Amino acid sequence: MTMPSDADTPNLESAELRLHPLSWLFELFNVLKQFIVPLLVLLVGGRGNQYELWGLAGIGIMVPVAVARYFTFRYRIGNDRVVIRSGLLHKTVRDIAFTRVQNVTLHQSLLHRLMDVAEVRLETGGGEKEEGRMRVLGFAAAQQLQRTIRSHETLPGTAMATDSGHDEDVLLQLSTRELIKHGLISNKGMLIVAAGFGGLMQMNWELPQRAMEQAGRWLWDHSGDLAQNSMVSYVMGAASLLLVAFVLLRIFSIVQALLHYHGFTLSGNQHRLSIQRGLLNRFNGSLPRTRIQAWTVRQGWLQRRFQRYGLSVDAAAGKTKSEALDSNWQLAPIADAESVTRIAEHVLPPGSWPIIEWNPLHPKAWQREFKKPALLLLPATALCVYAAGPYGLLLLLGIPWLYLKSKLWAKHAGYSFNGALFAVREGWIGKHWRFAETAKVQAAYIKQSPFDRRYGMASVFLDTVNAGNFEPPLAVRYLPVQEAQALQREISAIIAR
Amino acid sequence: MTELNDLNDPEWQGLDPAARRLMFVFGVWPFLIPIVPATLVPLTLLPGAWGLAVTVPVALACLAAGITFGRNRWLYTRWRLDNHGFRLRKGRWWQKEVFIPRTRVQHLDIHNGPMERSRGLATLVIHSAGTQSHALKQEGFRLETAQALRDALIPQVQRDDHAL
Repeated sequence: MTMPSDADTPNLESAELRLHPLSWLFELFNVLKQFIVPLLVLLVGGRGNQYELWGLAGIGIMVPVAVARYFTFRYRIGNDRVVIRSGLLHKTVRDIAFTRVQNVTLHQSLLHRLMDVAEVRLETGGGEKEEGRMRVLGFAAAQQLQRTIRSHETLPGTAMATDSGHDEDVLLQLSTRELIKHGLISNKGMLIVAAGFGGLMQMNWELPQRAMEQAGRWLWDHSGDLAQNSMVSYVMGAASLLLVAFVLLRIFSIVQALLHYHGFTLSGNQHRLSIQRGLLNRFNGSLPRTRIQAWTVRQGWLQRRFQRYGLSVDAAAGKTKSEALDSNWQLAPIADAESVTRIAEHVLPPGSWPIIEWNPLHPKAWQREFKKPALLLLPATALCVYAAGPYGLLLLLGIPWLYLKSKLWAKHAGYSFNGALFAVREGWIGKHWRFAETAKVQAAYIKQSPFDRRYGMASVFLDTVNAGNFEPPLAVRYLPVQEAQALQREISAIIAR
Repeated sequence: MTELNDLNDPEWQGLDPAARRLMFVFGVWPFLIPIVPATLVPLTLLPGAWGLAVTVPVALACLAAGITFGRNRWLYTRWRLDNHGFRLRKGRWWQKEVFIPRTRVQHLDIHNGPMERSRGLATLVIHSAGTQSHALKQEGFRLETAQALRDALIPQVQRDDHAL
């Protein structure tokens, strides 16, 4: 087996390489991560006790272990494989063929970037964890390794086409402006607030309490002034407090978006889509195109105001829980319609997206969405009337709203099937579209509940690999039963080929 | 009303008659569990015979639900093997039909525990790469039927792997 790269790298076969000399530091750091919170408590809070000091003694043992790991870890890049030798007492030799590597990812935290190194993970998609983890390589060496492995990525029978295939087209690049928009739309700031609050509690759990008390006392002290100025100032006060919280949350969300997605670039060639992103922690990973399963496009209310969408895909990735081979890939956190089409058509046949013609559901589908919550509202109203008197009847105002909501829901819901691609759409205020190539469908279901039967309806559900828990199902509900059966038959015949 | 799971469809086969009683028993007993707290709690908390006024109806309801479910479980499970793959229909109230094409079968298992073995029965498990359908399990086959299904559905060695 002679590869073109043999000529450029004649003596790589024999050379056994070591990790970056500083890798012991990162090895150590990785172990320390678990102790960092108690350590901070110890140093900052000064509230440590004897047990936490024992933890420090443990670190004394960790340092030589980390150094030993550096000295025992060797790797060799062969013509078609990388061989990793590791272990001090229990030695392991791991042989990973380039063609089996599904993904090479480079991770860089701020510390990595200061030292100009990167952590390399080789994933073959087989096991629970990534198969090869190199903590850490010099950044240039890491990129070289990534390039070497990727250059062996050839589809069977297209060995000659690789030269053209390795040119990457940029599919999506997010500017700071777009990221600010994304921050405004997303609610990730909530996570930062929660994490920050948790962190504060760890460090000094009296602090948030004291802050709350302070705020409470301030309100109490000023309640006199507020009370004098009647109801209006109360409302004003509450509103301005909410406004401040809202603005802060938005700012946090924007900061999070900038940190996480800074320099977001999605590019693709004939084999894979690659993503680079991150301001402090750089991430550089790729997803083989053939592993893309089902697609989800989402558009919330705010996104519609900005005319933007979010796009993510499920990826077949074994049982891996690592970040890089995550089964859910956010291909575009925020993108306009053109970019979504460009990304979709890069993988799917041209003309697949956007779908122009949608088939409607059963004409009475809206009743199904309307009846159950409306009926549930009746006993709720009865309870309210019992508890609060005639004002409880106000709850019945929900019924016209439910009516409107289900009508609009049914108007937007629909499905489309053209033999090669199956798509469903649902939602009213927040819409989503879910689609997959028929070739990726693993099993076809048809389901009918007793309520469906009363209306002569059924639903069709298509099962795909690694369909995420947080993704909408690739299913169309409330179809006329004959139509559902015909659709399931048609899809069954195609996937059975 | 259009029933999805039509018992009179001649193209579909039922499960083995020998499995009927076994599936009935295994279908009923989970429904009998609530009878235990429904007996203990009212009889200890309520005075005199009032406890029975709760216990008896609850027990009867559980029994009735269990018997209905247990009978339907065997009766309303029907399957069909055609040249595309395997189809399975299940359920009386919530009916569903699953189709797993032969091209998507990853591997198959046949289980039989002591209870099944003594009756010549087996449980067939069809594994696919799907999320919900990763292991489609159906008990109540005659062992020979399960083996025949396994042989008919076993993936061919040279098949395309493009689905993954």
